Amino acid sequence: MSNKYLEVTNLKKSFGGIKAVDVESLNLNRNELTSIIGPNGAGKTTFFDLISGFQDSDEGKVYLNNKNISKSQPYAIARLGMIRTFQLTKVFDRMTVLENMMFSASTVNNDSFLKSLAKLPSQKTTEKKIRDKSFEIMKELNIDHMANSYAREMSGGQKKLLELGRSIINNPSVLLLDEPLAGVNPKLAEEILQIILNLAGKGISILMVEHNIEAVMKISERVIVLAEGKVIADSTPENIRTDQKVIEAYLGSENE
Amino acid sequence: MIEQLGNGLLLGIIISVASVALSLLYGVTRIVNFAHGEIIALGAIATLFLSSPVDSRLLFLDRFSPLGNNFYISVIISVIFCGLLGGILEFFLFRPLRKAEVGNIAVLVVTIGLSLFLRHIYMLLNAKPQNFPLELQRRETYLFFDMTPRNFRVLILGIIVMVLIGLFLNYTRIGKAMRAVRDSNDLASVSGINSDNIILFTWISSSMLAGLAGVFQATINDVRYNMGFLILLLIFAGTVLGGIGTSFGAMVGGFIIGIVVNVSVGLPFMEGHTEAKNAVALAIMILILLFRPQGIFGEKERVS
Repeated sequence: MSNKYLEVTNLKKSFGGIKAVDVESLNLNRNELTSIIGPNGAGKTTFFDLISGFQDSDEGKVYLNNKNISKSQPYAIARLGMIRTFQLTKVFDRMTVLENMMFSASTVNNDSFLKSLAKLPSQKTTEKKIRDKSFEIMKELNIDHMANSYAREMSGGQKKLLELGRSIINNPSVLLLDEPLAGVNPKLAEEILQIILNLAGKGISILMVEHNIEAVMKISERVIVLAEGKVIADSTPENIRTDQKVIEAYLGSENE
Repeated sequence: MIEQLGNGLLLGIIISVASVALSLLYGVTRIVNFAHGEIIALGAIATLFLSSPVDSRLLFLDRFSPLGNNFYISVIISVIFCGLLGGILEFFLFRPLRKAEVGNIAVLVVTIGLSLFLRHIYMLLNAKPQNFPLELQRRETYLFFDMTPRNFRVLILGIIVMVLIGLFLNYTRIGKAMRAVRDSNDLASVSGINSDNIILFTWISSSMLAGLAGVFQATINDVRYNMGFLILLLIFAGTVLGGIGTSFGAMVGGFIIGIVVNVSVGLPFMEGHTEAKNAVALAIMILILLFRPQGIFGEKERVS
């Protein structure tokens, strides 16, 4: 297997006359914690939407582990093991926290309608496994005490944790995190960063969009800077800090 | 008032089944379906057509008797037919509208147009009220209310259907997937759910339930081209009363509305004004919503 998990070529998306995304070529390497930064309106979330199937690109190709996913639906991409989160945290409001976890865990197995009506012994063991694993992850994230509360009762930060939890329960190979630290208090931000580092340590390839530059520079191995839909810089955090183009477009001079 | 209770229970179970169907569809698709009443009517009309002897049908179709007029088979086929219509509507109309990102209000207007269109087709086919070809039955006493054995069976069957829907939504994979798409279509997608399939399934099952509600309504009363439209307001009331988008709420809300409509006939000031019986139920709905805007079973959400 090649070292690249995601290959993007000539990916374009316009809204009206505005080019939201115009990425000529971008390859992401396995087990590398990569961050995308850039000013508001740089096309970061649109780029996420394009590679996760939530929007159709105008042109260009996206390969996930050498499989063309340019025209794939979001659910199909998720089943291939690339799971995303959302800028505005989403949870299943009217399910309990445990149900949220278990639902995300079992769907990819995709068992049939008839099977789900009659609970076979084999299913009960699978269900128990999923339940145990859900609790294990909830404990790690420190939300296990809320297992039987409805997700809508959680605070914003707890929802962020739940979102992370349900993203990893299926052992994804790739995680796309859309502003995992947005609106989170400093202590929790610290915790979430540690969780992200742990996940990267477990061999999950992570691509994240984040505005918290300090955090990005601290944990990323590679930083990609988008501006007006184009990649204007792509390097290590150290190089990005001193890149003149990036300072002008995004970081500002006080960062020097 | 006790004598009205039996009628109230019957109307309650019908409104309840229809409200759950409407609520499921709204929850999963965000479509307020004004054509729901016409799918209800279709269940009854198709059953009448398949089960009636030739002379009570339409002139130009009266030589067609494919099922030998068996009532129960007619009901089953009609309910399936309603599901088919729902599936066709989703596949050829509402899915393309959704993909084109047509707004909710525009879609709502489409359903109103669809409702008018279907209702007038039914009217052209047969505008006269007609009864199912079932023998007359004497009322009997069950516990403390009177009704015919057939109507009692409708009541029991309605309750069984409710229990089945509850079990289905809570315990089956596809039921859980419907709840997931209802909460967040995007999140369901990243959990590997093909939401298009779930929405198609929801249209089919909602329409089948509506058709069944129509058969119930026509068994108790009669078949009319506008029978669904006439109870649509009560169905909306039941859905809103229970809490929009909650299936259990719709069940209970529909039931309350149905009972109140009939029991209110027994109120002293209603004497001689039974045609205004819906007004009391709708007034109660408005009152409850003033004090509990989210409906009886709707939950307030934490804003964060």
